[in-house]
Amino acid sequence: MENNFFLTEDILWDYADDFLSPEEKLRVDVYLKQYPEWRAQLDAIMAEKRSFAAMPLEKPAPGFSDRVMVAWASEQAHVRATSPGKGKDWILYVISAVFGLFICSAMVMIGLQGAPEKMPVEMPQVPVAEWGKIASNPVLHYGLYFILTVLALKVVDQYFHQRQMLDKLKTQ
Amino acid sequence: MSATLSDETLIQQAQAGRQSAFAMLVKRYEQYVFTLALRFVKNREDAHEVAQDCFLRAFRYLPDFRGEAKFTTWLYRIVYSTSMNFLRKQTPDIQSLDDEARPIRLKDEGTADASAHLERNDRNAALQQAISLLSSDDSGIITLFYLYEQSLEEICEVMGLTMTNAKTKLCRARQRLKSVLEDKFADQIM
Repeated sequence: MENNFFLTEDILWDYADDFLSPEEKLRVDVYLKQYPEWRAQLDAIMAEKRSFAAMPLEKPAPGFSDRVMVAWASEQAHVRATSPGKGKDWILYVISAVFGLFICSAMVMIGLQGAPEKMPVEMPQVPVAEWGKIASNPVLHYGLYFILTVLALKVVDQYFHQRQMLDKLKTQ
Repeated sequence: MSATLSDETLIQQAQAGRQSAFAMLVKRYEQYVFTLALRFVKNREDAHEVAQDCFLRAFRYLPDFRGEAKFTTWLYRIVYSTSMNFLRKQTPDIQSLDDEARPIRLKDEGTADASAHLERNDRNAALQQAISLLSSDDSGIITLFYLYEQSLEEICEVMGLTMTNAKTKLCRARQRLKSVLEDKFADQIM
């Protein structure tokens, strides 16, 4: 063994933590045999290491994991609501398309009803929209009922979806 | 059932979007994440906030997790970066680990290693309190190495350190812990 080797507490900790190379480890082993008083120091370090490892983990407040899952579910719902082309956004597009189509067809039908049966030779009469007729048009009525029903179904669907998610979280 | 499923299985299920797998991962790691967050931010209320944020970030980035590192190492790296971001927002200047204002008091050669004689419970309580008095980096590195048994390489990955730097930091953290134990908890040391 080299004469200039002196064991320090730091080296002993490195030895205990297995940070030393095989040569350095061997040097410490030889030193410990030569100076047994350092063995007690090593035992104390090992005991300290064990007590570090035996420290209990801190417990978060009760219900922590539930709160995390609720936050995660609400984040997911937000992502679905804000990102286009995901989730059930196609329903909104379908509703919009149906509504647009309905308005167009209603306008065409009203135009056709208001048009004169025989075209005058001199001056063509411009059809005048009669708002009373438009409001009492059965197509408009049924269309509105249809749209309201679809929207109500969408709301009910969302409600049940949220409730199902919350129930799932409660049972976990 | 959750105890029997491996991390890999739970991660795969979570990556496929299964909510119950997310919930099981939270249950399994909540104490580890919370303890580490508490070591860094030093306040239970803030630690709850940070720990929740960590899980949300972990879930957000879970689809990108390829298993190149251990899941725990990946998770602890999130805890470290989230905690550091939190501390940066709280206080503009974080104390450096090598802060000269907190000198290391090396062991007095004349004093026996009294902590070796502590009763187990007293030792645990004293250790917990002493660790809470250390800086974020000091208590974090001690927790990762000794309590979570992360290797030095994994700690480097978590805290973004070089090997030499990590070894030095660990050594200094240990010395500071010893100093705190001897200064503040001498009455509990036989």
